[in-house]
Amino acid sequence: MVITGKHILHSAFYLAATLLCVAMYFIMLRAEFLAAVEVLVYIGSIVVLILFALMLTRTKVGEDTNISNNQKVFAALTAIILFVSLTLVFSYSKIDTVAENATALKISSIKDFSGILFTKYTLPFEIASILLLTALVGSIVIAMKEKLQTESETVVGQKSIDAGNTGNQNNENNVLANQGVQDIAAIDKNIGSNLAGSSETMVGDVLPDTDDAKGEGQKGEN
Amino acid sequence: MSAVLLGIGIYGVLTRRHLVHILLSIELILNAALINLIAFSAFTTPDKMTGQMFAVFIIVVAACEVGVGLAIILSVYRKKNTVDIDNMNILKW
Repeated sequence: MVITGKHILHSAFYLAATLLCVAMYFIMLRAEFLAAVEVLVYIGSIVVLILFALMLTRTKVGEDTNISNNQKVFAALTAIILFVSLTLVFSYSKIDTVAENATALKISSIKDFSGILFTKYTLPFEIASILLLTALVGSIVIAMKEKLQTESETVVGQKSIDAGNTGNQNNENNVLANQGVQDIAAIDKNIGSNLAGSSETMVGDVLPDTDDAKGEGQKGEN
Repeated sequence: MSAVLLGIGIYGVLTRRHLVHILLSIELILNAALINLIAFSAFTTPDKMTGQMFAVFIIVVAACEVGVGLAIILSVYRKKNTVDIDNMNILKW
């Protein structure tokens, strides 16, 4: 159902149901803590994350035709071959099973689990935390960088469109921008001349401002 | 059971065209591996919990993988305005 769902939103919810069934299997295999972790991490965060991604990458609502490519036969063949070989290996292999039935299984408590996790497996635990942090930062960087690039591209595209479409208006805009720059420069010079009498250091502070205003005006012209 | 889940997941990875769909199938495959680990750990060494420990780390890695994968999908969507892998040919020359 997860892979045959017509709409991808439905398949995401089917995935949640499947993960719930997997959690039930964990409970039957006496791994209650892992069942809880499965429900929390997978259903609580991963499925929600996938739903958010679906919401953000929605292109055309309702158009769900031809969702699969033309590799169906080979994919089915590969999957069936893998399934058959795995079942053959599992059935013919001599695995020394300590507990034959599920009732003889030991109930694993969280106390034992955490004891082993924080004594014997401390280094993998720390490495896993570092991996989580790295993935967090990496995903943010990947998402943010592309966003900035696309924003700059759209801005440049809009400018080129404006320059191409309205040439006359562009000249007018340049004239207006020049006037604005002159006005700003005049205002700054007035302020500078007013403050010149009071102290010379203030003039030194104001003069770079006029340069900045001119620089901004030139940017506006470009 | 885990073999069934693995087969379904591989079929989904190979046939779907939506990127998020492929990510869902990868989740299925990882869950197949998890069931395998838990089952063999429970039936062979029920007092050591090695498989459960390994399964916890696999869950951590799966969470990281999904986060980074979704970030990549979002950036690709922003750049190309599609999530169809038939249009993903920027790595091809």
